[in-house]
Amino acid sequence: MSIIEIRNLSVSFASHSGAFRAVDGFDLTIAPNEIVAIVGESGSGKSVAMLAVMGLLPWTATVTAERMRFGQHDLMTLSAAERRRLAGRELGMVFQEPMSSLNPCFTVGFQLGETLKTHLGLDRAERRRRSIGLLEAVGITDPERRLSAFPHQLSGGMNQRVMIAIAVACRPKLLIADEPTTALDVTIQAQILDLLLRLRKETGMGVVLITHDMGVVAETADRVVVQYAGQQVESSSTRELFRDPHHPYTAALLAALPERAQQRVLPSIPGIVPGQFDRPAGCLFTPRCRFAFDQCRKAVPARAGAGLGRALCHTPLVAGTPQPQGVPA
Amino acid sequence: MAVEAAAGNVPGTGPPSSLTVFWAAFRENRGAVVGLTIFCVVVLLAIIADLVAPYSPYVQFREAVKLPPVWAAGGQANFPLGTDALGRDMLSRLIYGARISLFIGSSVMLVSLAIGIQLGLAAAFAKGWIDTAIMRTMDLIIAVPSLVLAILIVAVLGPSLANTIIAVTIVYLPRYVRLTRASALGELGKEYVTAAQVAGVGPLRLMFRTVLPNCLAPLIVQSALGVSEAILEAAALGFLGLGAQPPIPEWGSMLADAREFIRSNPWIVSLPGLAILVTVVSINVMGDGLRDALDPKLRRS
Amino acid sequence: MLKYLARRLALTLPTFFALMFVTFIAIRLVPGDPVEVRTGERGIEPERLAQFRHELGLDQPVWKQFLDYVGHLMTGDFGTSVVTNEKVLKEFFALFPATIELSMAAMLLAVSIGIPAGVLAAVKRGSSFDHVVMGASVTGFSMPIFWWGLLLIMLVSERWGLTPVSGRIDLIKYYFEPVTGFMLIDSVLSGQSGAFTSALHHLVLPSIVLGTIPLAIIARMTRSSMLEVLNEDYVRTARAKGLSPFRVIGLHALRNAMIPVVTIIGLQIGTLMAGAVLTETIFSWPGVGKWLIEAIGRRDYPALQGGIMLISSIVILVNLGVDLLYGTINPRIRHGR
Repeated sequence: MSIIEIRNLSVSFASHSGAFRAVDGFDLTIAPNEIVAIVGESGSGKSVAMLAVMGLLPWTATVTAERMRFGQHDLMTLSAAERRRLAGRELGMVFQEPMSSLNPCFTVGFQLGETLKTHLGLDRAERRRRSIGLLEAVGITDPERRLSAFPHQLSGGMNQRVMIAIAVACRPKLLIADEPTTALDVTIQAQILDLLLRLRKETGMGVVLITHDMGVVAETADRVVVQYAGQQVESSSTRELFRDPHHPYTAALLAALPERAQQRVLPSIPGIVPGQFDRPAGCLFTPRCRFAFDQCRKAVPARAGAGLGRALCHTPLVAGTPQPQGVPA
Repeated sequence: MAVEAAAGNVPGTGPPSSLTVFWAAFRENRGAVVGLTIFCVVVLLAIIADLVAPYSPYVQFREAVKLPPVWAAGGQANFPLGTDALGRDMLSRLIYGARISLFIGSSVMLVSLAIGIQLGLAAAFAKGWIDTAIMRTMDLIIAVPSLVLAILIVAVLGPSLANTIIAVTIVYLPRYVRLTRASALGELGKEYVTAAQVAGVGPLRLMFRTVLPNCLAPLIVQSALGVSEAILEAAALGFLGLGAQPPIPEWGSMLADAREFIRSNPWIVSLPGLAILVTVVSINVMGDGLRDALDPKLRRS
Repeated sequence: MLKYLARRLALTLPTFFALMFVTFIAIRLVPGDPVEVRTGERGIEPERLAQFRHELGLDQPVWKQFLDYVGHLMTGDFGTSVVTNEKVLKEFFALFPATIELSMAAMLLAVSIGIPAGVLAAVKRGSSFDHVVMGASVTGFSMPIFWWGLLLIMLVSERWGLTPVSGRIDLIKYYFEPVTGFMLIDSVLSGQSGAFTSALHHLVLPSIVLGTIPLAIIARMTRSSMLEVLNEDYVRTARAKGLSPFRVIGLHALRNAMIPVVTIIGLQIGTLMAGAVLTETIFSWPGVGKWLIEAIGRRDYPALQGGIMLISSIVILVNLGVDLLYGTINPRIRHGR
């Protein structure tokens, strides 16, 4: 059975100037041991969707979904207390800025032990033992000494390892990593990703990896979901996506990768992601799409079939060429 | 296909002027607007006191001593807020008192602003021993509790309206100096200052034309709050008998006279204090609104 | 850490020195004959005048007078009151515990109400509770406290008869020798039943009046600090760990939010001293504030000079203490950067 199943998740925020739809129709299913990457630019809703799953959104957010199941639990109907029991125990999350994600007033050992005490009820000696083990597992040397260190005494990479240790302390079924390496050096990035892969192998947990780096996706993910302006525009296996992207946005993203460059000038995607006030009617990608035509401006596209990456496009691409409308997927 | 320009730009209107932006942000805070309104009323009353006050604040009506306000038993319509122990009309004294308090408040603010800016800029630009000397002096002033220092100054100079202004100015000077110095130091690290220096701008011009305008926001807020602090401090001195001497209708000294009437004639006690409270609250609320409107970080989208 | 202590201590020495200089100059600037100023006598005959001048060292050059002054201060001689003929130091410390007791009660009130109010206002941002707290705190620190005291006396003591009007304890019913100078402690030590209650009763209104402004400021500061902290990443992490809201707010957020608030609390010490002057005057509370005001009225300049020197020195030392305390709380300073 899949660890998590989300269908048609939408999140909108109440603001002074009206409701803003940050996530519109998000689907996700993850099986044990699977790594799924969520890719998109800033403002694509990739983080917001996962924060909704964790229940970490502010009160101004309205979350609706057809289905939001985690294991046996229906996340839409859980009480706040039950939600808290899941978070940190079965659902772990790691954030982008390791230097500010740990509380500067408490030691690493305290913050790590807190999770163990709250969810597993371990006593002090056991907590200490486990914490040292966890720090070793995430690759921190000299763990006994680090337990009494404060976050500002450790480097960014080490802090991120500590965050991961905290997130996996209770052996969660799913780990959500929100751009875990964006704030770190490239060399550390590779180490952290390796760590995530190793932990996945050891524990069989599922991993959601949110990133804007296609290179990271290619190396680590089994499946990919592409987000644009809150909508899910494509979703397929990594291999399939890189071999033959079906949505023009995905194609443009891949074309912009230096590794795939064929000319001296890297093709970039003109224009910017629509904000709250400049959302086009019809397909949201229309202003920036090479292949846009009349229908794109007028009608919201239907989702294509699984064979075409479930692309949200009137004329999904096959081998770079848009398919005529009406072709069955 | 053609790529359109980024949607959302309305052609024809330029970016709004900073004053409009500021006023729009300020207006959002209803409390601040109320504060501004009340403050303007007080200022207006103070300016046109001669026209508005029914009597002179010094005239004593021996037959109408300690009259309660018009709504209480025994009140008279021609003394709407009653009279004090010497038969002077309360309303008139309060209105003229506004003039005194606002005069003190604004004098203190202007003088400490003028001196404070110069000292703060001098400390920031000259650095070295000038900076140390100025900041150590300011530290000393801060070390002594405000009222205690004011009392000392007044004890030396003698109690009067002018000396109250001097004493309160000295007590509140460090705030302006520190604020200016901190802002200026912050700006000095920025590139536009280096650019100006490279272009050959002399130190005085650099201080006042280049750097100072960018330090203004916190100074404006502090000035507004400084007026209210000065009014409170001056009233405290007045209450202790160390401020403007009677028969000058300063609100604080009106309260000093009123102490014996707590039981018998409570309005003599309540009204001057209420005047102080309303004025100071309105200025503080206004100052809060100023701070929120001027600090872009605090503005909510 | 020790280096930090030494450095801060060294920084206060020039302040002390400057303080001595200022009080010395101030007294010399008081209008009138210096001998009369210092002895409080008027119309002294010439021979006694000359004798006094010699005794007081007024025939010495100014710089020597200053050194003498400093010398006296070093040995603890802060002058002699011209009114009571007692040593200023002795009078000061006889009255100081009363001021401390009042200030501590006021601060306790301010902290125990201000911090929770600020925290709740931040957590319930925008609610009516928030608006009430904000409104009350603006009113609180805009309040002329001498008026506030009079108002409360008028209502609570006179009209409703709930609390006494003045003094520290009902002197008619209870009298005992002061042991510590702290009425709350001494009343318990005296063993007289009802004494402690009476002392507490007398303490209520003055500490409310004195504590109003610190309360307002602490509440505001706690609220704004808390609002900032609640937006921080580590609070989100704490929530993601599934910790209860009490723990997230009360431990993770509050510990960080308190750092600037502690600084403010420390700075309030000076405000309390200033406020004590007014509060003690209104409630006839026999502390150093009231004593200082009386000294002015009686032209007791040595007492004024010594009193100001003492009060300021104490405030400087307390600020130093708060600074050091701040260093221990804030882990970034404690463990060095």
